[in-house]
Amino acid sequence: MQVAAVSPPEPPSTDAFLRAVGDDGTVAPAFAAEAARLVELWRGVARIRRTSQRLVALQREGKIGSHASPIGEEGALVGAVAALAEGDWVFPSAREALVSTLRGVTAEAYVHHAFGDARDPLEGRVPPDHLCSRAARVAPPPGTLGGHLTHAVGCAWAMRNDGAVVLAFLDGAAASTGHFHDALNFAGVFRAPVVFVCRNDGRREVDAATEGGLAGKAVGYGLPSAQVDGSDAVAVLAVVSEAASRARRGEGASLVEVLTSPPLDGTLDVPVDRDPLLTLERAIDRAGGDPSRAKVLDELDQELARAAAAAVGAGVAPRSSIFDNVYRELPGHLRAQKGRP
Amino acid sequence: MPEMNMVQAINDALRLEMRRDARMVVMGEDVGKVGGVFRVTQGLWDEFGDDRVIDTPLSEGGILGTAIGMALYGMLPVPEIQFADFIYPGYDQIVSELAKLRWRSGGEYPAKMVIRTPVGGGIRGGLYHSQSPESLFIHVAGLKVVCPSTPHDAKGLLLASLRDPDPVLFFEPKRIYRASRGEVPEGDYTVDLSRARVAREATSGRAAVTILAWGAMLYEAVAAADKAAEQGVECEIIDLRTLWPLDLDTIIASVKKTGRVVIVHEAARTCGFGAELVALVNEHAFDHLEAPPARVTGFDTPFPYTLEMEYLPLSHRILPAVLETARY
Repeated sequence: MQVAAVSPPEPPSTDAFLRAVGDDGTVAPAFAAEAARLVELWRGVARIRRTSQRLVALQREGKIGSHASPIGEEGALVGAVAALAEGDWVFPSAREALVSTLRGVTAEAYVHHAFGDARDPLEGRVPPDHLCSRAARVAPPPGTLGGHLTHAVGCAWAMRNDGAVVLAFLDGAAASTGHFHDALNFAGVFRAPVVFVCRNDGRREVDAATEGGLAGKAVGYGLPSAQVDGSDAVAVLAVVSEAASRARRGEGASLVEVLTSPPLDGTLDVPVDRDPLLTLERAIDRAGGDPSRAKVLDELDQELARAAAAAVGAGVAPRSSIFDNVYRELPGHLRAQKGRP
Repeated sequence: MPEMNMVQAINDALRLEMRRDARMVVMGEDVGKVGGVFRVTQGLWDEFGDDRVIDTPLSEGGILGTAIGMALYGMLPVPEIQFADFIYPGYDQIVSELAKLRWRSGGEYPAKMVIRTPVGGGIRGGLYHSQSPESLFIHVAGLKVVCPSTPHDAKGLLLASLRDPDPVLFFEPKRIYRASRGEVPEGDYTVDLSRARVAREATSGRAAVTILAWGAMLYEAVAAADKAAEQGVECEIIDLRTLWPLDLDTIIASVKKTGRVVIVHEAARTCGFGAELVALVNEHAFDHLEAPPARVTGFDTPFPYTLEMEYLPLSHRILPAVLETARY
């Protein structure tokens, strides 16, 4: 049964974003496959939430420079990444960079990265939330908003015969950039196996004149699109799975618009009725509960506390990191600059 | 040894490397069936097909961004930008993404590619088909910039660029695409990216003048040097070939020998690459100079259409600079 149709290339109705979990925690029968993964989804959302809360605290303490928090939007991140197979790739922007911790990057490595310390895998070169990992198949977040979207298309084209797909995240504001147009245009022309997941945080009325919101923009590129409620990771998983399946079958790219509800008032308080963590907890409780919940949170907090403590004591990145990896071999002019005190 | 023009030499290099390296693809506007606006990729689509010679939508940002994604996955894309003047819509991808990827990923995600694009004036192209934007790329950390002046070097430098681990901007001087002819070895060879070419060696030591040039202006430097010789001034001409990273040793050795240097480039004067070359000469050979370094360049104006030969630093403008420098 087709649970969460990715529509043919015509604008979706904006009447309601797709949901799987009802207010009382009941998961609609059509989403039985996804419902089997409720605990896994909750653990992912909890991991992102707790890590981001810790990074916000570290930023406010002045220990790290910045943090692009995805709090309140974790349903989009976790639901979409849960739709991937191991060989698939993810192209996040900074606000989704924490998805690398769902694919094998440890909290410790991520916190070291946020500090830019001596044990940061990127040796302090770039600000927080720009971590990438080839082992995790997570590409580098872009320098400018939306700049990675065409990278995702090129990577998808390159792997089009390998049965793998690319997941590219974008902020709704990036849907106004030329990068977005280039990416969707090239993806349509090349039938690249890529799924664009666009977070709409509710402030995107300046970014779309199209019928069907941001998702409606896909029509012009011949791509199907869908709208889904980001407070419902189950629904996100279902829709992105369907889009990924299309891509895997050689049917090309899709655009999924995910309506999220991050706190926009400077607090970390996600509206209770729009909280992806609470939505999953309601569904899990309705299905019989999860006795491991407190233990998982406790372990997460301990892991993050250890990571923060380790980062505080790790020392600064080496001066050589400024010069190394500009080119593979250090050219003469950089040898001279590196050697100069 | 066959004689070729630069278009044929570059085509030969592309074909040879595509046969050798299955990761390599050529992509761009009309590079496939049409063979490119200057026919540099002619015949490649017939041999390698749609999967490796890719006609793309008309968008430089899209071409370069997509190429970066291919490179991140491990392919070797060779995008063609039809004219260097059109590269600016893709400049963000080059500057913000391509140039910085190896560095910002700690070496995990180098994005290797060679961007080919015709540069320079002299073909009645007007302001949007004649520019020489090399300094805009030299200024950006992480890029290599190459500009050949002969068919032999074009093939050898391109093969070296394709095998170099870093992203390369390969600027093809379109005025001499077909006007330059010369012997080009068959088969595989490379020209070292780290070495300038002493195109003419001076034997008169401190009576001579060093000229630094590249691309199409190399021939203007040679013509000016011939005229100067008639007036008793000998020139040592250095063809930079790879503009960045620079073969500073060859330049400084020559300037220390002659004590005099004239720098020629088509690009506008202010903050052109000549400015950096003058600074480097001053830093490394100041005590050896007999005369102030001179620049003969394009003007700080847009590139004119009908008066392009006024704009270009042709031999009749190089000669007085050489003589003045020699007689300072």
